[in-house]
Amino acid sequence: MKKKITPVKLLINIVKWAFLLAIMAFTVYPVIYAALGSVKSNFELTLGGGGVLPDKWMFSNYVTAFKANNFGRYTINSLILSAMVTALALITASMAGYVFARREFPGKRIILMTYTSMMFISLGSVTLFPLYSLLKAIGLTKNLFGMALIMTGGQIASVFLIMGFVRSIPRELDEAAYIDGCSLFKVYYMIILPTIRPILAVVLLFSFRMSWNDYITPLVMSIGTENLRTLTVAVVELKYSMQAAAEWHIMLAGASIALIPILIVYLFTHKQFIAGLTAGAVKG
Amino acid sequence: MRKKKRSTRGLVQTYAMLAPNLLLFLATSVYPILWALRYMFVEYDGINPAKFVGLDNFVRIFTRDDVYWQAVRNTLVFASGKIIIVIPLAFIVAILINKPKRLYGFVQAVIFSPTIMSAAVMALVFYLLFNVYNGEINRMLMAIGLTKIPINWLGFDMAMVTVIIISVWGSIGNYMVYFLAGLQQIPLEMYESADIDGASTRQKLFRITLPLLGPVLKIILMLSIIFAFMDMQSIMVLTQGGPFQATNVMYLYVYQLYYSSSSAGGGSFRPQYGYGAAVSVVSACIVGAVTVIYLFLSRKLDKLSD
Amino acid sequence: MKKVLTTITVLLLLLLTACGGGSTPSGTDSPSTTAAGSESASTGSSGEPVTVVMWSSGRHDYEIYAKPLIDKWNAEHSDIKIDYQIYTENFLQTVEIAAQNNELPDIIMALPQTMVTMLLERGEVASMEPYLTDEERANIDPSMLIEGLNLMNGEIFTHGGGSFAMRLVVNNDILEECGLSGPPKTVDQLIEYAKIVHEKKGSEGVYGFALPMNNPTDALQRGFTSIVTLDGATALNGYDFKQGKYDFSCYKPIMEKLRELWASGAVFPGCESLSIDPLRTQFAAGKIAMYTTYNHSEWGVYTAQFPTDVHWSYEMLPTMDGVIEGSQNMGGGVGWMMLNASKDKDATYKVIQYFGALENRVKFYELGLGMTTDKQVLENAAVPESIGYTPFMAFQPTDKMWPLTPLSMTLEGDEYGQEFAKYIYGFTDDLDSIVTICNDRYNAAYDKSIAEGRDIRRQYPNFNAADPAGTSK
Repeated sequence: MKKKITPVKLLINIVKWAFLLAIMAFTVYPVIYAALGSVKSNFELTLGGGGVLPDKWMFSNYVTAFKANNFGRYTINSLILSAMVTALALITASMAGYVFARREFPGKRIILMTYTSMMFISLGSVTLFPLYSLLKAIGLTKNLFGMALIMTGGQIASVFLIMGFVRSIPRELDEAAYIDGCSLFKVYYMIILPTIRPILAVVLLFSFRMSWNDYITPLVMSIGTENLRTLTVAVVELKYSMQAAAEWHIMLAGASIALIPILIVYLFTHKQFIAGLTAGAVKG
Repeated sequence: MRKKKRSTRGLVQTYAMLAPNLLLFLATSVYPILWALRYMFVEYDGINPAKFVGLDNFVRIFTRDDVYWQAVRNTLVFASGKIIIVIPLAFIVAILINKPKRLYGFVQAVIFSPTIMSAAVMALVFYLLFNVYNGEINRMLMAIGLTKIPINWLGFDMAMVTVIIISVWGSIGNYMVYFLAGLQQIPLEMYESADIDGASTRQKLFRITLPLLGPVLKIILMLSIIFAFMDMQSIMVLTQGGPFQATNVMYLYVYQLYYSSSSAGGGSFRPQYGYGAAVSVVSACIVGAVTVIYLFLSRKLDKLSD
Repeated sequence: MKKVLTTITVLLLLLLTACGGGSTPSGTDSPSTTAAGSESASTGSSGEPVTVVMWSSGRHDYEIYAKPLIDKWNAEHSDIKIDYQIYTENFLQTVEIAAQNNELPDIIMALPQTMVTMLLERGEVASMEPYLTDEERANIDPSMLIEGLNLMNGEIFTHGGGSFAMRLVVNNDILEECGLSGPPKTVDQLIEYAKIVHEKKGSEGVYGFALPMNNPTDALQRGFTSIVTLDGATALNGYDFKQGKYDFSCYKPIMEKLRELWASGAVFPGCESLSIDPLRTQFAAGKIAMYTTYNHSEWGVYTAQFPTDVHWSYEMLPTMDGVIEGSQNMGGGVGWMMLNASKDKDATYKVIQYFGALENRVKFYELGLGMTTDKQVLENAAVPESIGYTPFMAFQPTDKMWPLTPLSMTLEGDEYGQEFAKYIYGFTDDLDSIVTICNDRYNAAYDKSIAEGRDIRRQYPNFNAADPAGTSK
């Protein structure tokens, strides 16, 4: 049964696509502006106006960002930090999620209740102050590992996601191995981990996104240790740039450097990103 | 005997596997709250020894601190403005692209893309776009004749509108996907049988989609309320709460009490760790209260519609 | 069980070694994730060089002055290395947090004053008395020594460096094109000029005046506070030395003028959210005719970092009646302080001496990075190109050292700039009640810090704005 295209339908379609295209333009425009602006000269940017494309393609902005503004180090910092947070999140949340899903133990109820309630309580940046003192007490303020521990945190949402996923796996699969005398960790490692890969991909993407993009935690945690700054912190710092006059071209080059890795990751994995959010929404 | 031994062993293993996550949770979520609950009764500037002041911090919040209550009002305006715009927009987009088509997948990927970017970094870009003296937004609006004089997007009257627009930009993708998730839970058969009954598109929307989406919508709204109350990174970079506290929100104010020097020259800034803790606790209570009111109302509505 | 623990330990160790890895003596250039950076000077056991860590809040002199200096030192010295770190916007918080966690550097720039006061209060500052050479001592001008600014309990803790005062920055091209000759002498004239510029060149997007009102208190301190004291007020930033308490009433006339200026439409649009950096870029692009600011940054900005064709100059600030009855506070002695956190004070002082060496002070001055009252420098330096270009960049007799205002108080509510901005923007017409609010707020905070023994009442009954140092002893 082929539908006929009536004028009304055509009009609806036009309105629909006009709306979708407008929303799409709204979402990508700032990114395109940043990308093209990053190869414009500062003069062209501060003067404003001009064409969409640069008058002169200034790829040297990136060279300046890396050389004069130490972006090489900040990029490496961001990469190491994100890798550590992601690894910590995957390991700790998957073990906890598995245990919550499969084991009964004293204190489970109260622990789960605390986890749930903490999802809704936020004290904002206040928490960073005692956490910094805590890191200081165990001597971890001078490296990225301490920062990674703080940013990993309780991973409450990830724990619940993994818990839900493990529950959907038939019990027989891992129970048998455990009764056969395998240790709990071996069951987790040999049977559970390979099975829950899809949800681990989601946790990976979300913890990477969070750690790559977060601004306030690394800002506060790198106060006093300039060489722990991450890319986000360094880019925003350009607003108060070393030279007293704002250098918009370097700022946009920095912004682009900060956006590119995550955009590449997204390009290959946007289906998982969306699947992850979907899973989160369903579970609440 | 053997069984008992086995279960102890199991218990130890259980706790051992839970420990890394639990420890991080206790350290990063629970400990700071206990810390704040203690420090909210204290006056502490990081230099002089902490001094117990009883309820004075709360007396100050409720009687002397106009800036905070302005921030609370701003937070309410910001959150409701954001939710009122982003939820319908995201819902419409989701309805329009809720079919497994390649082209729709592309639309979805594009609209979702802002959510993977750093709000703080993008706030810099938005500054260049929105500033009144040479921002591209004004240039475009003037080119197509929507306005004759440049709009002062970051000025006192418009700054709140601007930060709402930016937060809508950053979150529309999230809510679109939430709605898509909800829509996909509606069984296709319902639409098929409606088609057989000859239902129109509009009838399908109001008779099937909206009622069945109810539970998901409730969750989405709750999430959006909580997130909107805590959203502050882009405001912090773009306006620092100004001009004139016009865009200062609760959690940004807390940040400022802790880490922000307002005046570089001869100001008299001192961090107020004790007072800031009290403010954050009150703010958390406000968010909690709003959530509870929302849950109560949505339950009432459920009962009414039953 | 054992396996679990071993695995966790191994994983943790892997992570730790991935990000650990000893200290990096080579300074800021190696992309190491371990911060050797803010460890204060310490000698390694195996003859490793001492690293002296310096923190600076200054950004305008780095590329052309500080960096070459440090590179030279690090190339010539194998025993002492300098690690120079710049913190811009968050300097105060950085130092606060570092102080609370015992992570202070060896040397720190003595600016802003709030930070200096905080460090003094905490007892983090080291006296320089044991290290001063006779030559250095001879060059210190006693009239520049002020308790809290460079003296603690009578002992010198910082010396040398440039200083700065406030000036009006003028785009002479615009004024000329509008047929205006010479800089405005009175505030009324300034408003007049701004209006004329806007009338004649408003269509080209050129405005008469700009203020970085993103931070209103800072904006007012970049000039209008000085206009008040040049007119003879005995209050600096609202603190009246004669009365020994805060009294903002002296701001009333200038606020009325600012409101008039604001309402005229001649002020650059978006000033409410403008900070000084974008303001400068717009000035360099020829869009702003006048603004007020410190006299030490602009030369560096408009020559090296942000070259402009605009013919600009520093001019004296206008006053209400065109006559200067008082003086303006000179931001003093942007020198270096040595902190007690330094483990090797001899090495640390050598670095301070290096920065304070006549040759380098002369270079700083000749590069146009600050004004100076230093006789040795003035005798030995050529007139800097900057002062040749704009003479009022140099020290003027009306730039004087004022005593310190109270700095260790905790304010409950907005600063005075925010309050006065309400009047300037026309949100309220009640200037008197703003003055009352500010007086009450500041005096309450000040009284409290006195009651708690953190401050003393700074009252000088004979205080005279024309001779602040002489009348505040």
